[in-house]
Amino acid sequence: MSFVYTTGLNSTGPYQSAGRPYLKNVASLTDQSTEYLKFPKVTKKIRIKNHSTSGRLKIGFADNARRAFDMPDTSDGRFEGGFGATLTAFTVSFWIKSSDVTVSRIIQLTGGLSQTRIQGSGTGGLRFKINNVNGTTSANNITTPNGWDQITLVINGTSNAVYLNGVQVTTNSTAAGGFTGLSIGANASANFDGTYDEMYLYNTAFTAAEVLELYSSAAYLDPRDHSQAANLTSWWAFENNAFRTYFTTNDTTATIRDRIGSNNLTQAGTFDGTEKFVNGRQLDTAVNSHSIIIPALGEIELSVKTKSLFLFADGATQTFDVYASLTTIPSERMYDLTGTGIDV
Amino acid sequence: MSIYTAGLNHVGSYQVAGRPHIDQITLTAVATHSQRVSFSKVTKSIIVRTTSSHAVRIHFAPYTASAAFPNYTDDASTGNNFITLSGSGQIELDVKCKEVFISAPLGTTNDIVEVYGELTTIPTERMFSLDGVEGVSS
Repeated sequence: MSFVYTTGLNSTGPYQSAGRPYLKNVASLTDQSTEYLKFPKVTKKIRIKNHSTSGRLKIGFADNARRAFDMPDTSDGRFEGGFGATLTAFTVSFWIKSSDVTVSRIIQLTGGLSQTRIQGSGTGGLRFKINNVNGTTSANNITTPNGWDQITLVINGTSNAVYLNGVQVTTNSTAAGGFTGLSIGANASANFDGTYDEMYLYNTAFTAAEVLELYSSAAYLDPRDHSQAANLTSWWAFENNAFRTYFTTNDTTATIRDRIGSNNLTQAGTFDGTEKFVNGRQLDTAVNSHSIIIPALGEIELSVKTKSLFLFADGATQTFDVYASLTTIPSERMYDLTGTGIDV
Repeated sequence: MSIYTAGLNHVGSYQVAGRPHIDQITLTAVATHSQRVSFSKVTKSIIVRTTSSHAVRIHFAPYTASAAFPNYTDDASTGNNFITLSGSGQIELDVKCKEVFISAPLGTTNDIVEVYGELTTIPTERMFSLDGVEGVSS
């Protein structure tokens, strides 16, 4: 067996002898869309020139370039799927983003007591119903307009609770019984107008500490790293592999695959064709909070070591050039950029 | 068991620097308020940009000392230890630091300033305090 040695990320020579060019012209990046460039080697320096005469370009670095699913208007239907069993003590957690959490239904449990769901309360709060009986009232304005929130639903007999970003916000003591599935986007008369990302089903009722653990560790996101991983039943990632290949099979606008079991979510009701995959929570956060804005006809040069770069068109279709000075360090040697100053 | 990390004078750490850090900050209405950007590692250089037409101040200590920044007893305003970036401007500074402060001389609200840090591998714990240092907060 032979080993192939390659130069590493902390070897000074490759930076001193860098200079292999990388050039890329993007003639038309549609407004509100993303280009994700992958470099063949680790960079030493990059330069971006914006040739557009209106709008602006946002650039940054985020290697968790995952995707989410946008159900953009209230005329869309829902996704639904089974649990593969009747569950009486379980936890469902997911991320949502919406301009406003109104009275629309966010998630509904099926196969048990009817009218069991989480919905908006109309003032940015959450309402938790079991068998159409309201739980305690959450505070108003707890959800984040145009931002990401993690909602965790714990069902366990008469100890049922909803958590927002790791904090309990409403409870319901109605005896819940068992459920066999769920739907998101919910009901034809009050659909949720927003985006879903990273939904998990665990076949156990989380404690408050376990909910907080899921929220805190989710920044680096893999539900299999949670202390209750042995009870992870389903993982719906809403991933179409647009930028990186996270799974061997893509999700589609018709089917969201279960990455742990076989509880796929499928479309139900009428969809109008405007539903789509969009940037996931981390890439979206990078675009909106950790990007550099290059205005029309602007330019920037950065000394940076990276294996990738995202560019986001904002305000108009963008035309631009990217130049990179590459080292000889294979991109496989570069760690994934994530965390503070990147995508959190 | 001791774990050794690169120190502040380790040449190689600057030669292989380049890990990016980008933060967008929104300036507040009060001209004496400072917005702090904290880096996860010591920087080799930083770039500050604004796409607004208003100028911004850049300093390495709070503009005025306050309870919000307990690690600083001195400030940047007393000795005029700041530089001013013109509106729609950009400046690159070869500087090693673990944090930088931005303020708005006109107290203009909602202006967004972007800060790019070229990070070394040197932990911020290795960086000495700039409080009271001449040219920073003297």
